[in-house]
Amino acid sequence: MDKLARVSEVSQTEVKSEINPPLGQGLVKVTETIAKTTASEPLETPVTVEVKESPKPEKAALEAKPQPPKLLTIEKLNFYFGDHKVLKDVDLPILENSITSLIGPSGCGKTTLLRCFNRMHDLYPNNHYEGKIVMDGRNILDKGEDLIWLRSRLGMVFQKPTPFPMSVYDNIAYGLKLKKITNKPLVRELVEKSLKQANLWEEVKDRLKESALGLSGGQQQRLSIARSLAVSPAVLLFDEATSALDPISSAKIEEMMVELKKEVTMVVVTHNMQQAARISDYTALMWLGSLVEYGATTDIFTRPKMKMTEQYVAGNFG
Amino acid sequence: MRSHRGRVWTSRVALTLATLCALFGLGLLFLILYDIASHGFKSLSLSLLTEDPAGPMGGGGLKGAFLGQGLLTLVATLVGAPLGILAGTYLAEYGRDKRFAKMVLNLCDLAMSLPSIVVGIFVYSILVKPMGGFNGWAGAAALAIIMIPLVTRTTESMLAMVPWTLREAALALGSPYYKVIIQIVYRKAASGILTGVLLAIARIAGETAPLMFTSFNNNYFELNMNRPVPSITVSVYQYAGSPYEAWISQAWAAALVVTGVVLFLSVLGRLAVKWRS
Ligand SMILES: Nc1ncnc2c1ncn2[C@@H]1O[C@H](COP(=O)(O)OP(=O)(O)O)[C@@H](O)[C@H]1O
Ligand SMILES: [Mg+2]
Repeated sequence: MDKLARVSEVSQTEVKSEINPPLGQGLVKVTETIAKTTASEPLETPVTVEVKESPKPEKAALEAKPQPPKLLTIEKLNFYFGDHKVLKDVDLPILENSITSLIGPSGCGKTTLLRCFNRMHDLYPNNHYEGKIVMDGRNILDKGEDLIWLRSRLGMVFQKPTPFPMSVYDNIAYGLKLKKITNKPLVRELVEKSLKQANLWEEVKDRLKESALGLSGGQQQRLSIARSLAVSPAVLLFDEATSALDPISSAKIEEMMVELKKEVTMVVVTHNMQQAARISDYTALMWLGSLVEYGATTDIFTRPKMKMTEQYVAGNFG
Repeated sequence: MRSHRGRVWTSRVALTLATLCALFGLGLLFLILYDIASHGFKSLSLSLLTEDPAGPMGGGGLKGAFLGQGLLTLVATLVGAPLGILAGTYLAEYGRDKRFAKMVLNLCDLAMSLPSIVVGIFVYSILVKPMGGFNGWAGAAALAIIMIPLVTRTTESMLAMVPWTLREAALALGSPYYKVIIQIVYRKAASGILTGVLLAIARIAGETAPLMFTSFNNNYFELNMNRPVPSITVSVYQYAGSPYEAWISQAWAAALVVTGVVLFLSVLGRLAVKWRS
C-alpha cells in the first residue's frame, strides 16, 4: 500500500528535520520593526530575523523537478480589518494539483489569507484588500468579480463540521441545485461520485435519506468535503479542518486529501506540523501577517532558508 | 463574622419564606383552575359548542362566539406571524450590529409588556371610529399587534442561535444570502420559530380587552369580518356580568373551554422547547 510507504517516508523526514541544516555561506541580518498588531499580542521590541542564504546545490536540485503550473498567484496582498492591517505584502503561488499548507503561530493571519481566496471577507463591512490574487489571468479581488461564481470554484471546509439540517443526500445535492443541475439521474450520480471521493460512500450509502445531523463528527466533516466537491471546484480551502477530530477520523481525511490531488488543488491551514509534513507538497510559513518562507515541503522541513522557519518547524516557538 | 449556626438559620428562614411565597402563588393558580373547573364542568355540554345563543332562561350555546374567536385568532395569526417572522429575520440576519436593529429589539420588549387594553383603544381609534363601527378586522388587527412583538422576539433569538459557520458554509458553496436564510437557517430554526408562534397564539386566544373595543360582540352567528364578530372571551365577560343564572353558568363553561385551549397550547409550546434541547 503506497499510503503506508508514504507515511514511513514522512516520518523519516521528520527525524531529519531535527538535524540542523548545513550552514549557509553568508548570514544576513535583517532588522525589522513590526508595529503592534493587536492589543492582545503587544510586541514591544524590534524583532531580529536572521536570514540564511541557502546552499546553492539544493536550489539546483529543486529546479530539476518539473513544477506544476500556477493555478493562483497572490501578488503583494495586503488585507485590512477596518484599520487593522492583518496581511502584509504576501506573495505566494498556489500550484495546480498539489496541496499547499499554510503554517504559523495562532493569529498570524492564516485564516485571513485563506478567506481572501473565496472573498469571505466581503460578507462583513469595513474590510478591504490591496494587491492581487490572479486566477486564469484575472484578478479575483476585483470589485466586479462574481462572488457566487467564485465561491463555487473555490470550496471551503471549516474547522467545525457544518452539516445542513437536511438529509445526507440533500446536503450533497444542495450545491448542485444552486448550479441548476436538477436532472435526477445526474444528481444521483454526482452525489454518489462526491461521496466516494470523500471516502464516505460506503458508510452512508444505506442512509442517504437520513438526517446528516445523525452522522459522527468525522463523517460530518467528510460530508462537508463531499458537498464542496459536488460542484466540482478547482480549489478546496481547508481551515484546520481536522483539528476538531479524533486521530482516526483525521487520518481518513488526510488519506482522502492525498487521493484528491488528482482532481483539485488544495490549500490547507493547519497548526499540526506533522500533518503539513505528511500531506502537503508545498508549505508556507506565516508570521505576524507576513510570509516568512515558501517552498517544497521537504525543503521547509529539512533545509529551510530562514532561521525562523527552522525554529518554527522544530517547535521552538509558536 | 457570624457563626455557622447563625448563617444556617438565616438560610433556613429565607428558604422557608421563599418556598411559602412560591406555594402561595401556585396555590392561587390552582384555586383559580379548580374554581373554573368545578363551576365549568357542571354546565359543560356539547350544546355549548353547537347551538346559537338562547334567551336568559337557559338552553342554547355559544357556537358563534367560539367560531368567531377562532376566526379572529386565525386572521390575526395569518397577519401577525409572517410579519413577526420577517421582522425577526431582519433583526437577526440583516440588522446585526446595526443601531437601528438594537432599538427595534428594545421597542419590541416594550411592546410585549404593553397592557392589551391600550392596544384595543389604539385600534379603536384607527380602525373602529373611522370605519363607523365595531368590526372583525379591527379585532384581528388588535390581536395581530399583540402577537407581532412576541413572534419577532422569538424568531430573532431562534435565528441568532443558529451557528454563524453554518451560514458561511452555505455562502462558501456559492449560495446567495437570501437562499441561505430560507433553505438553511429557517430549516435549522423551524421548530423554535413555530413554538414561538404557538405560544403567541396561546397568548392572544385568551385576550378580552383588545376585542371589547374592536370586534365587540354579536349575539347572532356572524363571521362577516366587516361586522361585529362574536368572541368567547367578550361573551364570558358579558354573560358573567349578567343577572341571569343560565348565562352565568354558560360563562363558567366557556371560560373552562378557553382556559383548556390556552393551557394546552402553552404546554405544547413549552414541551416543544424541551424536546428541541
Ligand atoms: N473579524 C476580525 N476583525 C478584526 N480582526 C480580526 C478578525 N479576525 C481575525 N482578526 C485578527 O487578524 C489576525 C489574524 O487572525 P487569523 O487569520 O484568524 O489568524 P490564524 O488563523 O493564523 O490563527 C489576528 O490578529 C486576529 O486578531
Ligand atoms: Mg485560524
